[in-house]
Amino acid sequence: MSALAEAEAACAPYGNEPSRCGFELSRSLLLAVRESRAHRPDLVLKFGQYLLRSHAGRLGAEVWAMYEQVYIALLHYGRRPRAAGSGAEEPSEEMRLASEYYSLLAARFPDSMRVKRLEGMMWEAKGEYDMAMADYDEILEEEPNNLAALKRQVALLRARGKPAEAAKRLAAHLEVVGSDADGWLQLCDLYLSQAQYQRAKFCMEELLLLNPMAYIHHLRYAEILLTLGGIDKGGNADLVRTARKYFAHSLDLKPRGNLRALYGLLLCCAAAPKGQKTAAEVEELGACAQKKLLEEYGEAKATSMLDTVKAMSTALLS
Amino acid sequence: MSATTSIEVQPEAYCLMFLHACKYPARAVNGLLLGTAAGDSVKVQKALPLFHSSFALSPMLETALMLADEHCKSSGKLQVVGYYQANELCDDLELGPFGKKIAQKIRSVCPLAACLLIDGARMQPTAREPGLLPLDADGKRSAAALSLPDAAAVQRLDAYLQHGGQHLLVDFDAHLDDATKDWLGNSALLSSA
Amino acid sequence: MSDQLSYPDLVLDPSIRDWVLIPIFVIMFLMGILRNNVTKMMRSSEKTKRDTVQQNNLLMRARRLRANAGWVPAAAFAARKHHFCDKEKGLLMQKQDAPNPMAAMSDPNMMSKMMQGNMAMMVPQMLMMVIIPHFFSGFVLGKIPFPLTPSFKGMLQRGVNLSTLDTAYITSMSWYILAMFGMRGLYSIVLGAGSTTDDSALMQQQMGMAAGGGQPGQQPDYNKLYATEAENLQITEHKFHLSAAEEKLLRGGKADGVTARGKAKRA
Repeated sequence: MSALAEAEAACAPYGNEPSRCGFELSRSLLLAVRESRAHRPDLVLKFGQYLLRSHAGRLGAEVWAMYEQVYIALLHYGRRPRAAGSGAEEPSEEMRLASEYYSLLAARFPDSMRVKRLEGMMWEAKGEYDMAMADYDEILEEEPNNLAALKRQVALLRARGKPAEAAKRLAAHLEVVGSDADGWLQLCDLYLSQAQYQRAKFCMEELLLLNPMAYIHHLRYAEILLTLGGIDKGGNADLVRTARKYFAHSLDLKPRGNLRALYGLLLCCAAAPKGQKTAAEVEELGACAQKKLLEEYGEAKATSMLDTVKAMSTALLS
Repeated sequence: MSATTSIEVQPEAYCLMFLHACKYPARAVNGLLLGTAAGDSVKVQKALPLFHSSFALSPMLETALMLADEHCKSSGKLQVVGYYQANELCDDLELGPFGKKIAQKIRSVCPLAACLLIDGARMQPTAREPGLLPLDADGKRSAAALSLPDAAAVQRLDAYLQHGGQHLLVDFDAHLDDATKDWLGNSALLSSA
Repeated sequence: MSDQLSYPDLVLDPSIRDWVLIPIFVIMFLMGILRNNVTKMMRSSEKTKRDTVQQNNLLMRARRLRANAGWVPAAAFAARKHHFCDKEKGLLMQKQDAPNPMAAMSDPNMMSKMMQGNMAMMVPQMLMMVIIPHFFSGFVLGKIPFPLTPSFKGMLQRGVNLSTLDTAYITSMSWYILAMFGMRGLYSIVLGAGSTTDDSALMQQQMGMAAGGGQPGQQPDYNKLYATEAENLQITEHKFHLSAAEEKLLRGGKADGVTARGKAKRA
């Protein structure tokens, strides 16, 4: 179980009520959220506010990181879409609290770029995208390699519905810092959202070169190849064949719990043109994939899926 | 081609759609609608949440469609009668290239299929303004009339959201990461919530 | 040939353990943490230039391509090779600014960076080398479990000038050196948990260290580096690691069960 799941399980007996969970449990839960970079503003808000209200003194130096974490969670809840209000609205409770935390942080760390980025996020939450952009631009002028500001800019452009420009900026950044795996993943996602499959394929190749042992990258690459190759019979057989190899290798790297690779293999085998020399191997591969799928579902005791999958895979492979 | 003139959405399907969108607020989500189609009206009874990751990749989508088909065959009464989607940006009311492809695919099997877009700007729906936009397969607004036969559907949705019901929902993406999660059994989840 | 007389094992006073072994360990540990904090404080004011970062990045990309070429299809590799090594437009073939040796020396920032880096390393070491023999000398600390030649005596037994003492016995100095090497693992556990996960800081550190390749303080000659890298890339053959991926999967499957083919044969 991941650290976050463990921490959540530990809090569950107390009904997820922070005051009953106590200081230690709440603190470790928030730490787990922070380290796993999970997106759980609900948890952060509940437990973080409790900690800051009742135990701020005990947190010591960690209190500033806590303020930052809760501040970001507050922004998630406080944002209003631009269209709804016309500026002269009463700010929500969350935004008010967020402003309060921000002033605390700004007073403690006056010249910090990290705090400036938080200010940019506040502008974003209020819908003032131009002000936010200006903030991030300033940070990047001061520190051209500030990853956090650059990523917020890309996210901002994406949020404004400008994926093409977001992709351009990200690509320019990756030209300079080619080892940013997160960046390549985001870029791949951006290209996919615009149906630019060839460029997405390039990004996945970079990720494979960066980290050849990650089964997820092989998986995604195979999916892109299969999408490009076309699943219907009559598509690009080479791409389908290569996709098959990547699905197989992904299974090699992660043999259990890798449903996507198994389904992918099934599709590749079904898409292979019949009557070729390698038809026997393809058939065997397909049968193997089907067997492993049924095994997985058997182990997971997913009775509803078992029959469905069996029927579907048999129909597919025939 | 016969056009749909009325789309009825049962509360279970309605709630599931919105819960799916609420579970992944920062992402685009989509799913299938199951029910019956007769004459020129469509009754949507169940929703099958599919993805919250990129829609651009076809392998898992094809798999999901085939599994949904099989599931319908085994359950007997239901068929795939529609597709729903909620976009990443709340003011984006376009179906998008991938949504269109999926909708067209579904329409090719069921010509009356409904295509519903969750209106991200109206996340406080009422019975009169349910927050769903019916679209044609090419993304244009459809003339079909959308109705919620059960007026209490919105209240039920509110109740689920209050209790954090969206965290219990399992879509196909989550199922692919963990085979023990049942994406076909969300209705059971709702009734227990 | 002299007979090695086996002397009875020395019995050491347990207070040696309490007052020497443990204190040395604790002092070194604290010194290490102090050093880590000081270097962190000094490092935070550094800013690496964007150009250097880009040049280093290119080299690292080329090296990664060579190392992991087998994991991408042949076409992808060929395209990238062309991108790097093409005679006219290849990125590695672009002329870079030649390093100016005088500039390095006269650049005050470079000098101070050098000084600081060296100081952070050397000062604690020298301090310890003086303190330890000063305070903890004249006795034996422990015994190494394996036999050594007498020539090690000079190194392992500082301050104890007994020619008849078995080389296996060590003094405080050798304990210090042993512990110094062993602490690395401990530091990574203790400090790793508390260190920041700020990407930019790590990346800047990475770039800074890569830029210091060659002699510290001197700017590396990118032309030469690029040319070497380009040559290496040209001669790299692409061997696709995944060409037998399906067979590998099937073979793994055969080991634990019956495959469709097997069933068909049996039927």
